[in-house]
Amino acid sequence: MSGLRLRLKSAPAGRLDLSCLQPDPLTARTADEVARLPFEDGTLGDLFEITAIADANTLILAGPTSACDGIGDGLASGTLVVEGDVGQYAGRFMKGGRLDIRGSAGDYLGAGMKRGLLTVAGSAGNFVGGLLPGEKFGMAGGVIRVGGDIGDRAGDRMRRGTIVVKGKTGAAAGSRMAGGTIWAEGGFGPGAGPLMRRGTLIGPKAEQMLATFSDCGEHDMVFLRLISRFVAAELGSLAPPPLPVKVRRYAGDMATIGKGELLLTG
Amino acid sequence: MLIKFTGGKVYDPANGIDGQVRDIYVRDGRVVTPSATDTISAEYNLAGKVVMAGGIDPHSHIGGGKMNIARMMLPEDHRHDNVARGDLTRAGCGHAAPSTFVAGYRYAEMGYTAAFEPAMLAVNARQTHAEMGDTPMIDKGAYVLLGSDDYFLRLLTRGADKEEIKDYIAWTMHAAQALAVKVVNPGGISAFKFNQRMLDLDEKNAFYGVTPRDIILTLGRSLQELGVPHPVHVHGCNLGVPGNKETTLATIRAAEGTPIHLTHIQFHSYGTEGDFKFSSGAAEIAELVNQNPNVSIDVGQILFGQTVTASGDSMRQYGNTKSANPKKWVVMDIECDAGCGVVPMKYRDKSFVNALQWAIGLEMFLLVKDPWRIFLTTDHPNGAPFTTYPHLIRLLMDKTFRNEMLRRIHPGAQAATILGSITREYSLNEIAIMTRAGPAKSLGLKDRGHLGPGACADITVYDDNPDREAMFTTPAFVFKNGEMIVRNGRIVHVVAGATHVVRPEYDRKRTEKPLKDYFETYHTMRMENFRMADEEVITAGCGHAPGTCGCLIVQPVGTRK
Repeated sequence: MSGLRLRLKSAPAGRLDLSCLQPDPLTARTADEVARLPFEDGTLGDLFEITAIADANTLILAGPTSACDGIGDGLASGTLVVEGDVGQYAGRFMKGGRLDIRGSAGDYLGAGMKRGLLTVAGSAGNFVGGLLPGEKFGMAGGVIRVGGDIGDRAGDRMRRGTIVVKGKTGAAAGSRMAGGTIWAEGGFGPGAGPLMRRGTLIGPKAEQMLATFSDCGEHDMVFLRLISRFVAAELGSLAPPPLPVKVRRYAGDMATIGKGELLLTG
Repeated sequence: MLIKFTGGKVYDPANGIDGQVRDIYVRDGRVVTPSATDTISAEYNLAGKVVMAGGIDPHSHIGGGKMNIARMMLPEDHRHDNVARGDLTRAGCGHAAPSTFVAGYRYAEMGYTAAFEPAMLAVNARQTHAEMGDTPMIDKGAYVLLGSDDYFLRLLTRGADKEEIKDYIAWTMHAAQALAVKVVNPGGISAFKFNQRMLDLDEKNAFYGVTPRDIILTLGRSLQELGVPHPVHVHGCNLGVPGNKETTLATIRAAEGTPIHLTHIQFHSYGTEGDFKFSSGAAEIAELVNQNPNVSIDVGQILFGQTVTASGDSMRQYGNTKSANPKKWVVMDIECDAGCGVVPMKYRDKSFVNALQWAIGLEMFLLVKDPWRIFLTTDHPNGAPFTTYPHLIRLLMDKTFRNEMLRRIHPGAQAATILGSITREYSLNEIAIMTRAGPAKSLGLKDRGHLGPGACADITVYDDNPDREAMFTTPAFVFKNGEMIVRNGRIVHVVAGATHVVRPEYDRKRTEKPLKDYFETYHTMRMENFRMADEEVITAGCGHAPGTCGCLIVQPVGTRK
């Protein structure tokens, strides 16, 4: 089984739903076969220049823009590499495999993700690892790593899994969080953790910390070494430097059950 | 302009035609008998195809506030069934609680040309008619809810004269632009507000002191005397409660020969035997239905998968909230006149209870002998969305398929049902009765559900496919008032569809005098505003021949045949 490279011939005029492009079924076919597959009113070949590559079970998507939605939606296995920006819902409900976005991502990156590894070189929009209206939980597992900043309300109703951000989060990161970890190397934006029930937020600083987070003092926690080791193993060279021996712990959100924590390393 | 439909196998049970090859002629939206001198301006060759009147769904929740709540509550259910705008059709979403437009399109694409909303609360009539007005392609109408509203219960409590009660029923039907009258958990919705969590047939409402038996009998007799064709549409007591078959049997006997229609009877046919204290009461109820020609039923079959239950029965829906899946629900009072409960539900074939519910519905279909008194419904969306009808028809028509499905359900349920031993298979003629002729007759739609001269030319043409599910999913042609609206299961022409009402006679002056005082004292709006005008129902472009109906079709009252 080899891989495929799909290059978008021209930037789409409107929104384009590319959730159907999955490495697993597509790389089992030849480039010609894939080009003949129906897509919207024509075929995939109308939209993409398709060539075979050597990497096994790998799909490279070149030239997408922020108008391309749903890339890697429900990805279960294989590797999907995106050379360009992506729109909303990238890696939504991902169940496994690896999605590497070499550009930036829109809203709802990895919303409802269950397993697998999702990396973004640039920045990402709001609701990273969150959920859509009507759903009960956000991210339930796997690892998301964003190279730049992310938007508001990352990890909304997140249940499990890890989000690592090189830059800063927007407002209200970890809102309604029920579990999991958000590690922001650049710190948290205003009002992190509203209605957070459980889960962990880690960063050097947090702007306008909510009044419902209580200072628990400095702690030396085993968890710090575990999460550092886990992230290093998952992300390799992309992993942040290990956490310090001691962090300042704030418990919250006391407006709910208050079993969540905000760990300040700075 | 005379259109000829040539050589189709016609199933028109109302006129005694059972699969004979007949030609049908249509002029100005009506089936006619042509004279020798007429020239034919269009002809459809239907050789080898099956021709029936357009389908009629007598119990489908397509309007009223509860459906909007269901739509709002389940965005994730819509997300997987987005419907894009077409050249003719509007955008929307589907599955359990489809948007009004998609509901209309999907009914037509399935060969149905009419569907009736069974639970319109008079105070919500405007909303219901607005939603039905936005449901294109099909004819519609609504049954107004009585039986838990304050004024009606007050009349019963003070032992009002039966003429006064009849006047109030007729006034409500006029005010709400209704086709029939439904009662939901008679007196029970009201009793729920007085902290009663159950109300059996002979139990008194704590506040008004009336029993469900009084309410059903009063409504049934009054409607018969008013000449409303459809008998009182009864959603009985104890919906979904194990052991409720006793209540249902008692309700049939309580009618004392008065015509009644028992709706979604599957939900009312449960016994308490077996390890799970849940068993089928279908055989006993079917036997009593067979013995009582005054009783008609619709089934409310459940089919497996995600759906949402929406009912006026806030008492029983409150009981169901613990089974909500996904876990979210709404139970509310509406203006102290009725209630509303919306609870999402996922029926699973590996659950003993759900699997047995499925089997009970099918047992009921197969054990009731007279297809003129049993109608095909899933109580959309409570048992399953109406889009599952073709699958249900196949279950009824194909014993092998049915037994194959039976083998997949919970083994305990397989052992608890007699379904496997029933060999009956419905014929196309019987399907035509229970989905067309029967509902039309029961609702008093004189010119629908059949293809005799004078009938409205709502015609569905199917390919005679041995896979009945495929056959009923994709009709070859559907005609509404003689115009082709669907070809090969796709919309080719959009029409609006009419609203059917029934207007029994009554003394308006005598009725409104005390009512006006009542509204001034207790209600949130004036009596004059409560009443709906015809202009509020009529929408432009109903697709009917000019001058014949506008958009509101008043069905005649008269003694029931």
